[in-house]
Amino acid sequence: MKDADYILFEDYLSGNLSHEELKAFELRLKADPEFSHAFELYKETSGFLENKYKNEDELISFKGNLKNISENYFNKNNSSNNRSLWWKVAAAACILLFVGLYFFQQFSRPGYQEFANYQAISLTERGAENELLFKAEEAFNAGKYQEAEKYFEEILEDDDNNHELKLYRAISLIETENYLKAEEILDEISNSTSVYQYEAVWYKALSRLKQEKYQESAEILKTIPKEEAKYAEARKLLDRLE
Amino acid sequence: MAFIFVTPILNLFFTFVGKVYLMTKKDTHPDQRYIEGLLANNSFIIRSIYEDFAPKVINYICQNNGDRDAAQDVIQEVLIIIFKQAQHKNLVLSCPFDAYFFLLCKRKWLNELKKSSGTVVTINEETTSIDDKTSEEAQATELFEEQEQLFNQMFEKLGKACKDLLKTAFQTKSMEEVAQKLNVSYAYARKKKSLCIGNLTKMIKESPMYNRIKP
Repeated sequence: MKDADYILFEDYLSGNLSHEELKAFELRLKADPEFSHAFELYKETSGFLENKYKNEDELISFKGNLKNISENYFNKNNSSNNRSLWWKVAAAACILLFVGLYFFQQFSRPGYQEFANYQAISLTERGAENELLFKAEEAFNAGKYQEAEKYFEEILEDDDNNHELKLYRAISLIETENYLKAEEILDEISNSTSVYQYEAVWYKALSRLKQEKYQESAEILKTIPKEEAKYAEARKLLDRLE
Repeated sequence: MAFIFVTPILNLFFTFVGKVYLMTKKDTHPDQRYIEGLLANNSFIIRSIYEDFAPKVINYICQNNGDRDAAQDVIQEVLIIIFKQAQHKNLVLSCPFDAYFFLLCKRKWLNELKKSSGTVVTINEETTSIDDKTSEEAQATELFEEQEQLFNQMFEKLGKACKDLLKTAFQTKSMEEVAQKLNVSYAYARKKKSLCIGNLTKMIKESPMYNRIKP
């Protein structure tokens, strides 16, 4: 292309051609492929330069903003990696602590409280409107064992064969650390053919457990036969004792 | 009674309008908002691009002989070229941004690997197929990037007088102002501008790269 052609291109693009010149230019674009290609490239190049300088400020501020966001993202991600590492360490420590506690509990001596989990008793609904019985029940359920024991003793003076109440009295005695009296009553029940026979054996074992006589407790537990309701619990305690 | 006859006609009309609307709209993917967000230098959108799409790129580059720093550079370069293309060519996205962006980052990284080492690199190829639209969009952006590089390289080769004049010419509104600034006549400034651009087109045309990326 000649210099004159480039000047023509520029005049065309900037709208500086007369009506006739414009017509001639467009005709030449159609007729002369080389001219047409050169013009396309000129237009493209001019457009490129225009974009490069006209929008320079926008590009600069975009690049600046992008750089900040990028730095932020990559740094934050790094530190969040560190943070998640800390979480992992903390979690591992917690797991170790719990595993440790679990084994500690497994291998440590079992406690009386752990196994003596009798439900709240309910005596009064079974008939006779006995004020004493009601008081005994209330005291026992409230954990006032000394009081409860006295009421049970009083009731049993009239009702000597009530093994259930005897059992509760014995439990109250264990709770108040009157082991001798408690075991005396429990022996009495377990030597009978009462339905509370093995309940009594179980509580005797718990009595020894509370006194930290572990070996003796274990020996008593072994006398509970497989068929008995208390067997599973007895086994559990035995495993811990041995 | 009239509505019995009017209703089908109205239906037809709306179907037609709907079709025309779809025909003009179908090419623009909803993810165009990312392009617009970049173009508007919207920090919220840019951050969401990082949050949502960077991890996949980082992962890919780290698995293919790169590291996080390399991924950071690649992502930044790709976003800049998308911005430039959107500025210059009115980029209209017809595919999901995610796929388009990932493909661009991936190819840029593979090119860098090829450039930086003669050694054979093992690439863990993605098993997911790339649809034609995504591939086309990415190619268009890559073509734009190459054109831009060629223009810039050739521009730098121009003489200082031409560079200064062109820079002033495109930064200033009118050629009269340009002439005043450069302390030359208006006619000279206009003539010089067209000759400098003409010169630039010659250099571009003669470059071996030109045939590949002809606009």
